[in-house]
Amino acid sequence: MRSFYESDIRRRVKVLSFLLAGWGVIVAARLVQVQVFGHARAKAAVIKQARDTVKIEPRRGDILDRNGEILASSLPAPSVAIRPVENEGPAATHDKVAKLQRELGLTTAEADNVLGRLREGYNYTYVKKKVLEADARRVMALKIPGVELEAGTRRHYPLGSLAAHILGGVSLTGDLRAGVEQRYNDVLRGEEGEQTSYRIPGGGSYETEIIKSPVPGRDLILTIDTTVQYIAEKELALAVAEHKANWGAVIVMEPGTGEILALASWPAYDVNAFPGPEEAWMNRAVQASYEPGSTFKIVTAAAARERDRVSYSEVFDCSAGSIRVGGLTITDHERVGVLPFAKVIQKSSNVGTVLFAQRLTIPEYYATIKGFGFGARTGIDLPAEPAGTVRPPEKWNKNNSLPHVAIGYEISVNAVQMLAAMNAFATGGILVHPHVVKDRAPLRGRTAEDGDKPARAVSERIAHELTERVFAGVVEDGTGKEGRLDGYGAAGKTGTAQKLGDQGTYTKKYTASFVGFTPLGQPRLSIIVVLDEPQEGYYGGQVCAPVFKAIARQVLRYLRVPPERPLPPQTLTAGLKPGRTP
Amino acid sequence: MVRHKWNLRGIAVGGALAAVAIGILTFYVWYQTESVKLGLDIDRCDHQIRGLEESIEALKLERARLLDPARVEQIAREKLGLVEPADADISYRGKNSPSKERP
Repeated sequence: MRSFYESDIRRRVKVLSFLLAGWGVIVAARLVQVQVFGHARAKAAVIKQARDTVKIEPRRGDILDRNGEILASSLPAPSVAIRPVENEGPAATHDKVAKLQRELGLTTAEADNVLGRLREGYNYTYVKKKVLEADARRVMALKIPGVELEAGTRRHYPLGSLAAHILGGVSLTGDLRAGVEQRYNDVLRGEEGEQTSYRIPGGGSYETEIIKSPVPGRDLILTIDTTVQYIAEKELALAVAEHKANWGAVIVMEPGTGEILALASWPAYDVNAFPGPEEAWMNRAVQASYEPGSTFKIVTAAAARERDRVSYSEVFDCSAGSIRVGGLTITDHERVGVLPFAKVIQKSSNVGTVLFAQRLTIPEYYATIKGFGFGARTGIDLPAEPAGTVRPPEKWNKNNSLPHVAIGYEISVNAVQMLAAMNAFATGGILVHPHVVKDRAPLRGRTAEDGDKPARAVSERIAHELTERVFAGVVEDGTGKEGRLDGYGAAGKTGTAQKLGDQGTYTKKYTASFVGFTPLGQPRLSIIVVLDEPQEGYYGGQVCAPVFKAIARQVLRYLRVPPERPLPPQTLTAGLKPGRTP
Repeated sequence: MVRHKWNLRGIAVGGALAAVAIGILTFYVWYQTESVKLGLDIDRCDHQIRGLEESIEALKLERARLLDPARVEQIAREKLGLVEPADADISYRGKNSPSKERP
């Protein structure tokens, strides 16, 4: 039997143990309550103390060329901000802002604005947005109370003005964009994050906490080849300077895929200084509409041949040098005599073209024009492409619209449309979809309206026939012979269109162009060159065909495309040094 | 005199409970300390990663600038005195290469 003492001790130990265990359980339960169940409430309480919430800018995706070379990237560019400091006198605040003004080169108005906001008690004021990292470091080294940095980025284009109109650009504030920067902004921009700042209790400093991390934007791979782009821009700039043209445009495309290898528009601008001078904003290669003139004869020829209204053996009397249709006179640039069908196109005779075009009805011709994609956007993934003007058949003048359209007037096109039309002859009649962004499959949904399905513009037989029997001859021995390449066959068409003046009459100003593709066997390049109002010479064959040749020659070499026919023999010139006799 | 016998079982249970409670608290303190330490380590590594990523980006941009075709052409022509080869000086190897006409 246990004694009283034993029972007492036993009871005391029991009580003590229970108390101890109870205490442990209470402490553990409280910890669980505070840290697990009370986490959200505690965090909310902290956030409630927060003074403000700031968006965190995501890193914008890079833009790369088809070989992975960087065309656009984002560099760190923090913004300098300032918060009020407790118990700071007005003189001290003024001194601080004066220091910042000196370091960051603020204008007096900017400094006054910062000072005004601090005096009015604003909790967060930007001193300067998107400064260089070195400037930011210098400012932070001054250890000015209340001054802090907000992370951010700015766009950088390492190649300056190269591919300016494709890239477009982003303004420093990020609200103004052009080119693919605009078109694919949804892909590039990423998702903003959020951070909150709150005052540390008992102190004057602030703590920041990231509420939501930013999601960086996705990279964009273009179809552009930096080297091809450089060649196109270089040759275009030379041609514009040589012919004192108003503006110029060049597009180089891969015929089978519609991938744009280069797209140049002159004048250009340094993308780092976007938006740059106003006269350079427009992407002429995409956004400029013009009357195509004789390059449009490729469509007229296709319409007539497709319906068998003309044969290759037929001849046309163009010896008068002009033809009267519907009260208007259409003339040739020179008297070309009697020509077979192929030569009519190769010599670019307006008279001959009108003669065979008149065998078509307006609806027939209109159907072919629409079949080549004119009057509708090609869907190139660059902003502000115009559809061009193709009036519906009922609005055509029954007497003279068809002959006019047949030689490329009363219709407006953009360079991409004209290139796509010529390209249809390189692909055996298929109209491809020109585009500048490679592998757009993951981006679908954003570009659904583009409609990538290729369409047939002309039958395969007619496309091959016209290429071999007509358009190759334009370059070999026709108006485009300045575009002839040693070692490679090429097909093309020249255009020299008189420009319509303000009074609605045609002026002595011209839009010159050349559109073609090369090599003939397996076309690798389709190229269009357009010069507006060239001064020294104005025929397309004279001013644009040489640009085609220069670009094609260099690009074929760069792409290591072997010549498809023997090179002409080299001419060796022997000579003697001055003073020597044989 | 009566000798009191200690209730060893009770003491053991009490001791065990106390040890468990102390163990829980010790583990909690250790866990918190380690969490903070690891958090600081992660922060430091993140900072290092960001710094390295920025360096990589800067180097990529520098590479792009150096490979600017305009710059390369200028150096090739002006500093190195290189000229473009004539068409006939280029030989293409492969079944598609053309035969050359001899002068």
